[in-house]
Amino acid sequence: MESESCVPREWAIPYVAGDNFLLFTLKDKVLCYDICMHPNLAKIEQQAFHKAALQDGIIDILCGLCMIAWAVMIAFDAGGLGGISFAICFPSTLVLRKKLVEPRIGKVQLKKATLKGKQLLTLGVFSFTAIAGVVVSGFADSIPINSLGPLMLGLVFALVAAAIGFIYRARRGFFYTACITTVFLATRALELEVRRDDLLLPLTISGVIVLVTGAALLARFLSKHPILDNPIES
Amino acid sequence: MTQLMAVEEADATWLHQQTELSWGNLASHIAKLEDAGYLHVDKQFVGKKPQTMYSLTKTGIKAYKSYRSALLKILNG
Repeated sequence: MESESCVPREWAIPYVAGDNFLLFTLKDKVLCYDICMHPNLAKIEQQAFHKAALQDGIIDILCGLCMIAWAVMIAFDAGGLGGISFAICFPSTLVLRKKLVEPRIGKVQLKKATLKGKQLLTLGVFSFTAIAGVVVSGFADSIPINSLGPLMLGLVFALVAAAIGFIYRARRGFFYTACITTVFLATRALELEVRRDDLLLPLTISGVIVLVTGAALLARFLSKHPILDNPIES
Repeated sequence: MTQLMAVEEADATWLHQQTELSWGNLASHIAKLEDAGYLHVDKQFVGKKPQTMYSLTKTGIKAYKSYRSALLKILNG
């Protein structure tokens, strides 16, 4: 950084702009302005949300397990029970986050206004999925889409992943969309499906992709963030 | 204060991670902000463990906003 004597004495003109600071003069004083003190609060809020809720990959692992469980249930003609696995998924996320994430990165309560918007959009996405699931599985025999078979459900999953990626600004949502679409299209192209409701293979592969990605994220998170002792509490 | 402006409330571990301050430095910042009435400290027990959550008071939010707008005024000329 430049010494004070080299700095011209113009009023409030930025003199040196570094990566993290701005040096400027104010009357006869030289001030170093930390750019971190002039942040984009919306960006910090989004980063906090990403760090607190998405970075650990726990939700991915549980969603992947749910998809695999659902595929197995469908194979045993008990697809209707798939909702149970998704109902278990979200409380499990909270418990795992408390045990694994909070001791490492701390506890944070995000702004209610931000969460409310995201939660409403997520609820909308899952309502759409439920309705689409009922339409595809319940009325598939009587409407023209039945010839497309599992491809329709694959499309629903892909759209849900894209919507989640968009709502939460998580790029891996779009990665999942691409993977799910590819897997369902490949299954159709290779004629690996036998019946209209034969979802075991494409849904399992999609679930494994989501699960493995989540596991990799969790492994990276655990190695990057060791458990911290908080001396302020003790 | 910036970190607390972006969230509802946070504990010291979160603030330590986000600000990259040392624990001692963070503790003294917290104490000064609390003394100034800018920080609300909520101490509670979760099970047997103590947990302290920090949030900005209305005075703190007002002070931060006026500080920020003053800086922006200087920067924008």
